[in-house]
Amino acid sequence: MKNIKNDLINEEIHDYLNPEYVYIPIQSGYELVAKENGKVLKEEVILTKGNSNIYSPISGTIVGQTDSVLLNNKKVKSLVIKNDYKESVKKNTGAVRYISDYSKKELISLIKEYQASSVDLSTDAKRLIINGIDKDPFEKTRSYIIDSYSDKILETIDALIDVLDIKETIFAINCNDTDNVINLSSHIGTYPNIKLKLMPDMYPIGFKSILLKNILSKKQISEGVLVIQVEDLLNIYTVLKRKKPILEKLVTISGNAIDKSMVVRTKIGVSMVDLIKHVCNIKNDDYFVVINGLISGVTLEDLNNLITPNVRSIFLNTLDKQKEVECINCGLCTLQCPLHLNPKYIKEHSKANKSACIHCGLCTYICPSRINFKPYLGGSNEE
Amino acid sequence: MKNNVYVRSHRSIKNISLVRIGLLVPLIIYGFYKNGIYLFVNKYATVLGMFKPLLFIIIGGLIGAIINLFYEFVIKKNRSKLIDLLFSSFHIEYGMLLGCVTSLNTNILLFSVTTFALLFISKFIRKRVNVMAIVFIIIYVLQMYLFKEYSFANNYETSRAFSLDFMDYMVGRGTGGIASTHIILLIVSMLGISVSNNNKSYITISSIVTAILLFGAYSIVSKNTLGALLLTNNILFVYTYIATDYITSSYTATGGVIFGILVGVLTFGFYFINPILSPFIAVAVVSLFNRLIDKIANRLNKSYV
Repeated sequence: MKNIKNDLINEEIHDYLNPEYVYIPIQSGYELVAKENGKVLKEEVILTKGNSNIYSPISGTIVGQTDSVLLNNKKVKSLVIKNDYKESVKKNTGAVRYISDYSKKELISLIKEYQASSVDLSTDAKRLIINGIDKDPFEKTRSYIIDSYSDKILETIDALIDVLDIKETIFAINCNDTDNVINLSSHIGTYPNIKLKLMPDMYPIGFKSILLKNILSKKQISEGVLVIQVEDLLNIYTVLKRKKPILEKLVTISGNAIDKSMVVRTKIGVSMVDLIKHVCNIKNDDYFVVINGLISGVTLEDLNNLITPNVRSIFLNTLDKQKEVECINCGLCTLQCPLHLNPKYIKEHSKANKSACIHCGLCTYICPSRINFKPYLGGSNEE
Repeated sequence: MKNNVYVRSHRSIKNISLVRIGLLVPLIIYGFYKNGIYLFVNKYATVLGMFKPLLFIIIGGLIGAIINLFYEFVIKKNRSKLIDLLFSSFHIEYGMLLGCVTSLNTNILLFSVTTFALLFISKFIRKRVNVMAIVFIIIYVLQMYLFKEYSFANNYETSRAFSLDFMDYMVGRGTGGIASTHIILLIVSMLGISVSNNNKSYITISSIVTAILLFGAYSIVSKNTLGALLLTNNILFVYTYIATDYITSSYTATGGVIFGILVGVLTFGFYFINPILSPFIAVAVVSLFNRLIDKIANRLNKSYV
C-alpha cells in the first residue's frame, strides 16, 4: 500500500532526559544489588541475574518500590529512583578508538552483556541487511536515528562487516526519506562495502519479512541473512565504543489526541504519563494509548506504562468510529496483503490457514467497508 | 481492546464511485458533443433533444440517489450525514452507468421506470446477480416489444451510410451511445480507474483478451472487421465498468481471471443470438456464479486453505 500519509512535522529531536523519577521493573530472577533508600549513580548496576545486569539510567536515590506502574500492560514491582539531576557517573571508562578491533567473541559477549540487540550475531550469515525503514507509516523514529547518527551507524556497520566477516551489506531506507537519502549518499562513499538500497514508500515494507522478500531472493534468504534495525546499531555503537549500557532511546510521540507530534529522546524506565505531560498537551481525553504503530501497534491499558527498550512510538489516538458495512467484494484485502493471504476467506472460514499473517493490519486499514479483520487473523506479530 | 482500529484509508464506496464516474467525464462530454451539440448545430435535434444524452445519465444518477436515500433514511432509519446516505451503496454509479450504455433512442419514461423499479428491488434481494446487466436487458426487451426497434445510431447517423474502419471507432466517429462512441477516451478512463486501484483490472484484461482472441479468429473467417465486432455494442465499456461491478464479480485475482474469460467466451457465444445484448447477458450469467468462481479460485490457491 503506497503513500500512507502521516502528519509528523519535521522538527528537531526533543529531549526529555531529566525525569523526576525512573522506574526499574524487578523482573523474576533478578537480585537487587543497590541499597534501598541509598544513592545510585548513573550507569551503576542495580539489579543482576547471572551475567545480565540492569543499570540505573539516572543518578539519584532509590526511594522504594511500587507496583503502580505497568510494564507492557502487566503490573510489576518496580524500583523507584528519584533524580538528583547531577547525572553523576561511577567511573568514566573512556572510548575505544576502533570498534572493529574487537574479536567476534568479544563483540557478541559485550552486546549480550549490555543487551544492545536481540539479534543473534553468532550465526555464520554472510549477508547483512540494515533496516532503516520505519515499521509504521506514522512513526519517524528510525528516520530520525539515521538523520542524527548516520556517522555512528555507518561506522558500526563497517565494524560488523569486519568482525563478522560479512560479504554483502545492504542498507535499506525509504526512497521518500529525502534528507536521509542525501545524507547517506554523501557519506556512504567512504564505506565501499555498504550498498544503499532505496525501497519504495510502501507499507508494510519496514517489517523484517517483507523487507527481506523485497531485497533478496528466496535462495539468498535460505542461505542465511542477518537483519539489524538502525536502533540496534546505535545501541551496538554505544556498547562497543564506550562500553556503556543503553539508557536512552528515541521515541515517536503522535496521535490525534495530542497537540503536536514529535520524536523525543528519553530515558528508559520513564513513565509514559510523565513523558507525555512534559512534551505535549492532551487535547482529547477520549484516547487510547497505542505503542509501536497506529496500524499494527499494541493498545495499552493506560499511560501508566513504562518506556522499555522495545518501545519505538507512543500514539494517543481516538478510535475510528466509522460503522462497518456489508463487504462490497472489492478484493482489496486480498490484493494488498503483502503475504498473499485472503483475509475475507479467513474471516469466513475459521479453519483457513492464517499462520503466515504478520499482523500488519493493512487489510483492516484498506477495507472500504470498514471491516475489522484483526479478530479473525492468527499468526504472530514479529515483535 | 487488542483489536481496536484507530486509522483507516480514505477509500469508501463514495470515494470509489466518484473516481469511477469522474474518469468517465471526458467520455460523457464527448458523447454529449457528438450526440447532442453536433446534432443541434446541424439541425438534427431540437434544444431539448440536444440534452437527451445527458438526460439518461442524470436521471440514472438521480434514481440511484433517491433509492439510496429512501432505503437508508426511511427503511433502515439511518440518520448519518446526507452524503453518507447518498453513497451508502453503488446505486448512483449503477444509474449513471446505465445512462451511459442506454441507446439515445430509448424511451425516457421506459428507461426511468424500469431503472427505478429494478434498482429499488435490488436493494432487497441478496441474490448476487449484476443488476446493471439485468436492467439493460429488460429495457432492451421492453423497448423492442413496445417500439419495435433498438439502435445506437443517432438521427445524423441514421440519415447517412458510413464505412468505418478501426481508427474511426477509436477517435469517436463510430456509431454508439455515450459508452462506445470514443474508444480512446474509454481506454484513458479504463487506465485511470485501474491505476488508481478502483477497478478489478484482472477482469477487464482477461475478458478483453478473450474477446480479442475469439472475435479476432471469427473476423478472419467472416467478412466483419475486428473493430466492428469488438468496438461496438458497448463491449469494452461493459468489460471495464459493468462486469467489474464490485458486489457481483469475483474478488480474488484468480477468480477474476476465470470470471473475465467466461464473460469473453459467453459474449462471443451470445453475439450470434443478439449482438447488442451479448455482453450484458454474458455478465449477468457469469455474475450468478461469482461466489462459486471465487470458491474454485480459493481451492486452486492452496496457501489459503
